[in-house]
Amino acid sequence: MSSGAGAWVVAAFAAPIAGATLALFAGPRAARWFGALGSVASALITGALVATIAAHGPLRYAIAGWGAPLGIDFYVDGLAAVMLAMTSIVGLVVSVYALGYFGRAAGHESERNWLFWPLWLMLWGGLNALYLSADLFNIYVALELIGMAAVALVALAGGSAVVAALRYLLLALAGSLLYVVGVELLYASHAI
Amino acid sequence: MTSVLVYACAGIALLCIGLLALLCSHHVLRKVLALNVMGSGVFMMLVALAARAPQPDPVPHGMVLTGIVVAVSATALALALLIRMHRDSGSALLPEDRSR
Repeated sequence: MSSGAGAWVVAAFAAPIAGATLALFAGPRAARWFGALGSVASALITGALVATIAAHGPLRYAIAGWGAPLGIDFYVDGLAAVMLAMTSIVGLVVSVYALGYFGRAAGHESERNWLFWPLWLMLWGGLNALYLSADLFNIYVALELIGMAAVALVALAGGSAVVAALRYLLLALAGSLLYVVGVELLYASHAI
Repeated sequence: MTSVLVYACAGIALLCIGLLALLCSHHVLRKVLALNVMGSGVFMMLVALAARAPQPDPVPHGMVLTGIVVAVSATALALALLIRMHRDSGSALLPEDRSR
């Protein structure tokens, strides 16, 4: 496929991650605005990608030109487009609400206001990567990214939430290791 | 009994030992170590099954390297949460394990 459409695919994954990095380095005061900017950019890019898929059909894009099996392919079909659109609609609404919810910043809450935005945008980026993945092991990487961002978001509240996040992390890691065993058994039975 | 089968079964055994330790240990640091043992078992199985071809297959080796990176960051996150829990409550056990 043309590299123009491929740029949308990579941007759909990279825009939330870039927004998360910017929000992390922006400090407690400006993080909200970089977070909101990243959310709006992600929603727009995802909308453009879904419109491209609706017009031209499914799209397979190899990142940096290195194809499968050693490279990573992104494959956007109808189901991926629907999931991307749903996530971007819900994510945009969540971001707008979070601007107001975390906006009443007392001094002791400013760290939570600051750290929410990188974690939320990382979660969004991981979800986009999950929908765009074309192979099982890339799904594992996206699931780990989502899991760790979710654990950190749970722990953000402090107090007993830290214990809950620790329980979540331990069991999520056990589950994903068993998922890798499953992927490996599939690979061993089909590919060699 | 080929050598590939020995290593793959050893990987499965490590996975089972790690899973037992994860579920039955009380101290959270032991649970984190058990997760690392499980990870080592999974990686050993991947590498063993990659050695079946005459030239070792590079795709499972890539999976192992990715898995090692993920395991390191997950261990770091688990240790950070453990340190925070110990600082907040004085105990390195989860609350449901603390009664004895």
